[in-house]
Amino acid sequence: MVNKSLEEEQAPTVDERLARVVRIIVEQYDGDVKAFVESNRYRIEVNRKAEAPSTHADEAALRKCPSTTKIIGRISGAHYS
Amino acid sequence: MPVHDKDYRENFGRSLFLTGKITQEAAYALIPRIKELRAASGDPITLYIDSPGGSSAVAEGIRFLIKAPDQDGRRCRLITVAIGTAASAAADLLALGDYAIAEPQADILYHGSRQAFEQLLTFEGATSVAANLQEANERLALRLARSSFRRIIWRVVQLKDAIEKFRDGPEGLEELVEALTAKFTPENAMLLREAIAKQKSLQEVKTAADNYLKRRKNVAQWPNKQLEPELVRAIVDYRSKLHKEDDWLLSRTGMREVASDFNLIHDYASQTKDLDAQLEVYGSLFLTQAQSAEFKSKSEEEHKLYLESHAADKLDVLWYFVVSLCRLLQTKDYKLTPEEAYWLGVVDEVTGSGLQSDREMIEMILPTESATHKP
Repeated sequence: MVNKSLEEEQAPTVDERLARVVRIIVEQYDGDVKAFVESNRYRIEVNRKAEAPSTHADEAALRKCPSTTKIIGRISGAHYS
Repeated sequence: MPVHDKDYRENFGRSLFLTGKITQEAAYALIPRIKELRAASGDPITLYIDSPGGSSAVAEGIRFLIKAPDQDGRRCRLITVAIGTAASAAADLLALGDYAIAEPQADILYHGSRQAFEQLLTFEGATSVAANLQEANERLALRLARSSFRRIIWRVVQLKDAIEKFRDGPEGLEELVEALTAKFTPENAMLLREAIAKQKSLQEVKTAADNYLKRRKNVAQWPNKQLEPELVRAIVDYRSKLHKEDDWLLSRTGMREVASDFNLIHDYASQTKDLDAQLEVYGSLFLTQAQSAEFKSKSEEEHKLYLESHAADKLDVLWYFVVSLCRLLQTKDYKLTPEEAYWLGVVDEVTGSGLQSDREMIEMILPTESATHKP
């Protein structure tokens, strides 16, 4: 048997963030949920792609970095010379 | 990179596994970990489910232990994840998560309350068991409806052409549900068609009862002691008229029908506060283009009133549909795929499916806030 007092506690709370989503959909997308989701998915995808070259740039910088053995060599020199 | 919102993400670091049958022993095994997680922080707890079901009362106890307020009155958010089977009481537990996720390989199975007996039953015993099972089904159905309603709203607003017709008026519900059936196997689509038939009959009885009570003076001021017998009279009056051509008697199935109608209308009255809150948040999604333009020109204070007069009737019929659907889920076996569970409002998200979810939408609008948990 289901406990009624537990049931009363179950009243679903409204997440203010979801309420904001609804306001954006109604105000900026004429109530079109799909348009909201698709345009944001597109925006995120574009941003993701835009971030991708900077990752390669980091890799390029790493490639320019002296190899680990060279660094260790310099440190060793500093310590033992 | 998109932000991850901890309130909508599973978190293995704060998780529990409910595997196998839901028994008192299974609950005992989980309690220390629940207490440990609650003491460590107020962040959501993830409950992974792979269970054929078991005791509804024990499942409810586990849920309550996770969500109950602590000494400072803080509650904990429950994220449920179906990783294998979620059947019977486990399916209910899954759906009652504040955020429910199904993995693509999950199986979700619903059926009505059952009770096993080792002893021989007397007529009185059997009658009492039947009444208890019926009451349990009713309560479970209503509770499921309350947690599914928000999800169903998000599902139907995705059904582009059908939602436009529904925005024109509540009579568009049938078409909306028909569009929804396209997402289901033929067997499960029948569930939706049966639910729409039930919704119609429930709506009719409620309208008839409303009209009957409107003829009484100052009915709004009546205490429940006076109102409830009058409501029963209203229902009996409606049912008698409905069955005037056939041999309908209270002594046969009539009393059960009247009791069922009474419970539904009575429960509806207790849900109005919840429905008001849902109307305030989601009502604007159910306005026509013209209404929407008018709505935007109104002040914040006028919004509530506007939604009550232009969207409440649509949310009302949708609510009755969801209740009917959840009642039917408690009658016979329904095996749902994760996608079907999503379209039925049982879960919020199916991992890797590409189906839109609350999590995705919230993370879309929160580029910098709540970045508290990244896997």
